Amino acid sequence: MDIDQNDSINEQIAKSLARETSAEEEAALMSWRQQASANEKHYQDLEKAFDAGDRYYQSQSKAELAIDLDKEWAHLQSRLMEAEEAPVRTLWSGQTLRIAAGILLVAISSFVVYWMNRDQSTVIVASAETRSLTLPDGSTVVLNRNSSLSYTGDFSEGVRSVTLTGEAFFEIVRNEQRPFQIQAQATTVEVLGTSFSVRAYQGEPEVAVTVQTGLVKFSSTESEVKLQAGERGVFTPATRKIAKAPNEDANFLSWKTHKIIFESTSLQAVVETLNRAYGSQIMISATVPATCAVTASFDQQSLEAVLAVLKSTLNLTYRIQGNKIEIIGAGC
Amino acid sequence: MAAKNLQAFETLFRQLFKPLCGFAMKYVRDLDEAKGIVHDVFIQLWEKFDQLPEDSNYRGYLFTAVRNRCLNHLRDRKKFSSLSDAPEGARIEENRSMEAAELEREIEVAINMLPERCRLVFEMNRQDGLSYIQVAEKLGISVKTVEAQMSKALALLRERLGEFLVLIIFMSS
Repeated sequence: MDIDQNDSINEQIAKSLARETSAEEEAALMSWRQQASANEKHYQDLEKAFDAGDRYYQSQSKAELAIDLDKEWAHLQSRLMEAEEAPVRTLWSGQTLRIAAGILLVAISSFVVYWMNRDQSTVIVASAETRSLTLPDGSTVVLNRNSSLSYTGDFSEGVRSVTLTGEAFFEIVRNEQRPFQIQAQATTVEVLGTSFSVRAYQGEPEVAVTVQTGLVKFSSTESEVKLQAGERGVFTPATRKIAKAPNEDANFLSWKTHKIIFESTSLQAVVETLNRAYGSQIMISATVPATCAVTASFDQQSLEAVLAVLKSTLNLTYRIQGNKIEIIGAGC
Repeated sequence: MAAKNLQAFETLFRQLFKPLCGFAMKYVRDLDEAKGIVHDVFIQLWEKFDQLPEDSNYRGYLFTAVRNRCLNHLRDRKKFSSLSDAPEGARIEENRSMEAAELEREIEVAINMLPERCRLVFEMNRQDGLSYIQVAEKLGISVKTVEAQMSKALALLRERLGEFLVLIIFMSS
C-alpha cells in the first residue's frame, strides 16, 4: 500500500467503522480491501483498535467512586507544602531512605515547633499559597499570599501579641483577661475576641482593618478608632491618621472564600479584585474604554473560568505572557 | 523558583483524580490504596510541573504513571505475600479473565494517551454517540478535521496496542 495514501485510507476506514460513509465510499473501500491481502489485514487491525475503543467505553463503570474531591485536594496541597518546605527530599532516592527522611523531618519539625513555642519566635510564612493556622490559644488565622505572621512564646502569659506583614483574616478566641494584639506596620489592632481582616502589605500605601464580627480597636500613634462589624478603618502613613468608614468592598475576603460579587463594578476595580483574590497579575492596557462595568458573581471558580465569563460578556480580548495577563480590548 | 501554575494543576487534579482512582482500582482493588497511588503520582507530577511544556499530554502521563506504580505495588505485595503463607488459590485468577483484565487496562492507557483533541473527538463519537457533523459543530472544527482526528485515533490505538490486538480476536470469538 502507498504510504501517502495511508492517511486517507485510514480516514475512510474510520468513517466506515463509525458508519459515516456513503454507499459509494463503502463500495470503494470494499474494492480496496479486496485488492490485496495486506489491505484486508490493515483494515482488520484498525477495526480491532476501533472495537477496543468501544469495549472500553461500554465497560466504563457508571458507578461513582465515593471520593470527596475537595478533601483530596486539600490533602494533596498539604503534602505539596511539606514537599516545598523540605527540598532535601529530592536528594534522597529509594523508598526506604525517603520514608526515613520523612520520619526524621516530622520529628525535627515537631521538635522545632515545640522548642520555638517555649519562648522563641515563631514565624509562619505563606508565599505562593494562602495558609491556615491555629495559634497556641486556639485562635485561627488565614494568611494571604506573600504574608507572614510572627509571635513569641505560647501565649501562656500577658497580652497575646503577633506581628503581621501582608494580609490575614483572624478569628480570635475570646479571652477578656488577655487581649489579642496585632502589630502591623505603624499600627496596633487590639481585640478581645472577634473576626476581622488586616491588610498591611509593604509597598502598599495603607493599612486596612475590616471587621466581620465583634469590636476591634485600631490605633496608631496619632489616632485610635473603634470598629464594629461591617466597618473598615484605613491608616495613612503620611498623616498617621486612621479614618473609619462603612466597608463597601463586598469582596474583601474573596482571597480566602473564593466568592466574588460584582455589581456594576468598573473593569479597573474588577481587575484589582481578581488580582487580590487569585494573586494574579492582570493589567488593562490604556486603549480599553474606562466605562466598562461588570455585574456577575462567582463562587469557587478558577481564574480561567472567571476570565472566560468576562471575556464573553464584555467581549474582552487579552493576551497571556507568562504569569501576566493583559486586557487589550473590550467591546463596551 | 519559577512560579508553578497551581491553578492549572488543581484543574487537572479535579478533572482526573476520580478517573485515575477508578483505573488504579482495576489493579489494586482497594480504594484507599488506589487513592494513595494517585496522590503519589500527582506529587511526582508537581515536582516537575514547571519544567514540562504547557501542551504536555498530562492525561497520558498520569495514566501511564499510575499503571506503572500499580504494577510495582502489586509486585511488592506479591513478594511480601509469598513470604507469608497466603492461600494460593485466593490469588489465582483464571488465565483468560486475567488476560481480559490486562487487555482492558491496556486499552484504557492507550485511549488516555491519545493527544487531547484526538481523544476528545474519539470519545464524543464512540462514547457519546455523536455523529461526525455533531462533533464538528460542538468543537467548532470542520468535519474534515473530525475525519482526520478519528483516523489518527485509530492509527495510534493500533500502534499502541500492538500485540494486544491479537487478544481482541480471542476475546470476541
